[in-house]
Amino acid sequence: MTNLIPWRKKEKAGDLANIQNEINRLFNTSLSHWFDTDDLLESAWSPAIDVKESKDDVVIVADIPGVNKEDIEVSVHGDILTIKGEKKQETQEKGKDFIHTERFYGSFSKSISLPCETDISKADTNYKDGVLKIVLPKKEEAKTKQIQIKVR
Amino acid sequence: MNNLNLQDIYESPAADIHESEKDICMFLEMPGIAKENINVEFGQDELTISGKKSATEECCGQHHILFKERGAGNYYRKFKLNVNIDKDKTEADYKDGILKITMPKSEELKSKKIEIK
Repeated sequence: MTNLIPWRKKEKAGDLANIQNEINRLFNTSLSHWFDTDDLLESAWSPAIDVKESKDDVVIVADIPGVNKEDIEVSVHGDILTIKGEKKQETQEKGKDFIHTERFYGSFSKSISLPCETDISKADTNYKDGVLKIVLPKKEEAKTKQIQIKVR
Repeated sequence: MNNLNLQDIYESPAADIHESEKDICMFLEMPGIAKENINVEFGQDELTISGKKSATEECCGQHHILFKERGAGNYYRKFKLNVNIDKDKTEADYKDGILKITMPKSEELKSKKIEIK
């Protein structure tokens, strides 16, 4: 006895159409949404960063060991924060051969978009033990305000 | 089932090794560790380097993470020594997140010119 195949409504075709739309969207989205193309051009490596936020501020922590404080530049343009700098290789002393290198060197640039507007004038940066920490207080208007919902 | 704590995760620090006639110099990237939490130890023929991040360093509780690329922050690496090192004269230095270990080679190992009679 042949199995009864349930007749499916248009949903099935709809699903496929959705997938098709998704794929189209994916291809149409320009790559610049995923990569900061500037980074690809300028540097071969970039420091690992953590970005976290609380209700009052946005904190960015970057691992940049072995760099002079003066060689690090932090700037904010609109809602994009950029950390730029140069990591110099230890000067090669005479007679020393490099037998093994794993570390990355050279100029780096990393840009991230901040979740909201921040008050740059109150920014606090600190570089200790190779870790750069940037604390950006949020602008008053950007802080989410809790709305009380009255229960009747 | 034990939960994997962030404090138990160790990464291998990136290392650059330079060698010269008289010593071997190692630079390891270990940012964000307090000097007292770094351990450099010689075994029989191995060198063990470890660094543990103190739990109180990061802001806690009120922050939620938007983006995370940095590791757990603890470091551990073992090197096999196949060169004779003067362990007593070895020096270690930690600055700006870089641990620099200078290991002078043992006297016997330095190349000696042999006179040809």
